[in-house]
Amino acid sequence: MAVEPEVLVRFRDVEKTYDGRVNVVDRLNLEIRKGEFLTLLGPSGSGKTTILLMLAGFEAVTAGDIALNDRSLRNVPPFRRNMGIVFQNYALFPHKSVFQNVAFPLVQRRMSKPAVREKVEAALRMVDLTGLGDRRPNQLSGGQQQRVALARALVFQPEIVLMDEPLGALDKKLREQMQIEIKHLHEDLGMTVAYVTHDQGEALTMSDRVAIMNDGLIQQVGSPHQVYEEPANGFVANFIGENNSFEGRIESTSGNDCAVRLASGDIVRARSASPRGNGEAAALSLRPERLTIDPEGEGIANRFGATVVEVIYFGAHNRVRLAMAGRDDIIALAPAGPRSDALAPGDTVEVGWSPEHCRVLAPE
Amino acid sequence: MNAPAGIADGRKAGPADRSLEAKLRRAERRRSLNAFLLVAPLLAFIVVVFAGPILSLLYFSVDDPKLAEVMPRTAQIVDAWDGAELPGEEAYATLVEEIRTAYKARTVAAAAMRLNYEISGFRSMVMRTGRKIRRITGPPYKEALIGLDERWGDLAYWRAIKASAGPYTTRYLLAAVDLQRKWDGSIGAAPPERTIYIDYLKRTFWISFWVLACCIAIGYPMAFLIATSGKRWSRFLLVLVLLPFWTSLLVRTAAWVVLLQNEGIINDFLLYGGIVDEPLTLIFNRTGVYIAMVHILLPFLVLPLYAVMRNIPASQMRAAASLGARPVAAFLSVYLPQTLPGLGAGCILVFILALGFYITPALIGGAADQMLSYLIAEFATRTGNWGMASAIAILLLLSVAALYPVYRGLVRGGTFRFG
Repeated sequence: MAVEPEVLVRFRDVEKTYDGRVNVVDRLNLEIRKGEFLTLLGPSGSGKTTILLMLAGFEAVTAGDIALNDRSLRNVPPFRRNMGIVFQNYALFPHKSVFQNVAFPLVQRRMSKPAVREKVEAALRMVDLTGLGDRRPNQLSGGQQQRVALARALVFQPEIVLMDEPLGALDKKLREQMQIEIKHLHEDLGMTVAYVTHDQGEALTMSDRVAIMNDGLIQQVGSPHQVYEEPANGFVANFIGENNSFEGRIESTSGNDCAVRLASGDIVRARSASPRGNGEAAALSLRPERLTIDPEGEGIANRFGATVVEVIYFGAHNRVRLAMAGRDDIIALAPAGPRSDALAPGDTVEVGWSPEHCRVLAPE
Repeated sequence: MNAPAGIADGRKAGPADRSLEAKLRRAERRRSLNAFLLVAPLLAFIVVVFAGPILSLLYFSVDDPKLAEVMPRTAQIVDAWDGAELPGEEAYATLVEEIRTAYKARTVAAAAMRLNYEISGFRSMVMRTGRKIRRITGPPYKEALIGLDERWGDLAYWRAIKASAGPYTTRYLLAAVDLQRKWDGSIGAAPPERTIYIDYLKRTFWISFWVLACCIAIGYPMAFLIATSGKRWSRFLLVLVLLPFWTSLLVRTAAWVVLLQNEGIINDFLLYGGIVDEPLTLIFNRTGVYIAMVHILLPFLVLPLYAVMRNIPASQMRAAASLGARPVAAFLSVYLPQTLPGLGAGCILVFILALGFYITPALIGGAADQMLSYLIAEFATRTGNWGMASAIAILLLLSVAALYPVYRGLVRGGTFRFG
């Protein structure tokens, strides 16, 4: 990386506990860079929303410090933090019109009436709600309410926009459409976004970087590609996407390439992110779409015989459950085609994958 | 694309649709008949226990049969009389005869009592006349009667009889608002010694207003606390609010008597703590009435408010803060407007209930702290003047009815604009 990116928010050794015994957020060290789209991804109860609430100032930090532009936020009340927040339930003001909702942050900042009108209209145009300013929030559809919340959080040009599962209440199609729209808004406006979700697909499609949380701890921070293709541990591998996991011991290593002997006695060639010693226990992670049925060509160093147990039709692909290497829960995603459509339970096939797609992780 | 078009075609109105409409109407009729049968018992109950008493109240306030019952012919003659000067011999003759009959039948007291409402002293005058009526043996009756009591020659007493002739009267309703009808039919102010009702009405509204103000001042923060604190705390606080609710009004009022009296717990505590040097007078005055009424009515404000506040998510205030609103501004522009429907409902409940309070001011208040209900009870139970009791009850009823549009405005206000 040639230029060090400018840091907007820095969490330093932040801890949060509600009961004095369990840390909901533990030893959090995280930077949010100016202009980036950072997603906090994790199962419910992993502490991701708490991080957002601490950043917004609604929850006190138990230990450590949060700094915005290198200035501690410790004594800054929420209403002075200048952060736009999109809440899960939108938190639109039901007694105010759409226009008044979007105008609210500007009115609080004592902006002149013509300026307010101009900015609100621009914000409504931006989210495609021109002409709906007189409506009440409850007269709008879920997607439209979402846009109002977005316009309200953006209209005062906050330092950073925080979004707490903003698309959770929308149906799948609308959610995907809004994901793209938020992504485009981010690109067009260049604002910094901290986004909380438990939906891995959302995290992968929208983010510049993803921080994966579990039990109050950050498991891995990286680009969507990194966290998917090079998971740092078993939790990340299993949480993001589907994962076939094998357990075994390191038989031999050469640089980061390892040979791992499974319990069944089979040897699998795989790649490790860090050097490992012979005899060490290891968990292998293999994405179902990297597992090819009837593989062709060079580089497929791992080849095994397998029996088809179940085939489920998904339209664009078939999900094939295989019995191999002493297991019967190995999943392969086979693209639709004459070969994979013809598969039936009981068929004997050859499967294979290249070592670079099979990661060696520490066992859980 | 074809299928929807086909369906649309099928829906075009045609002759076949008329039977469909008829079917729909029949089904609707059946449904509304069923609905009516379901609510019929309730309707009957309301008619019997609610509409019935109110209608009879209205009737009692204008009903005036007493004199006409006891002295029907006198009433008839006096009713036809113009009241400009003393009536003729015929009226006197009829009166003497009917007083004689009524005195024997022991019904004259009821008529005398009615006449006494018009002029005090009229009752004893009629009774004395009854006792001495034996002395009148023949005409001319006019001189004879005036000879018994010269007030029979006073126009005012004859006008009082005319006013009591019935069978209906507006005197009670007018008196309830400090007015009276003069002998010539015009309406004017009642004599000063009888203009107490408007003062009572004003006092009733004044006490209710301050009780309401105190209830809001205490109840709003209380409801907020219950709605926003943790589950266990809010349940505990809610029980604290509800507990007095489950105790009888009389018991609670009596408890306040014990607490507030000069040798009561509160004064003991204040004296012991050295906060006051001599006991505060907390009972048989306005202070005591306010304390007890606020305590009794507080749940009626807290509960509707709590119901509304519970449904305002915490994210509303967070959103306001994140958008740059200071706590006070956030409260005024986001929280308060959303609680107005509950506040309005609570205020109306408290105010209307306060208007009708009787036991609490009667037990804890002094003579100057009694409200309209006290007058109703006084007329109904002590003096047996049902006409006056009904008329004041109607005054109270109308005061409450006048508040209904206010209530509508407040409750709807929640969905109106607030700048």
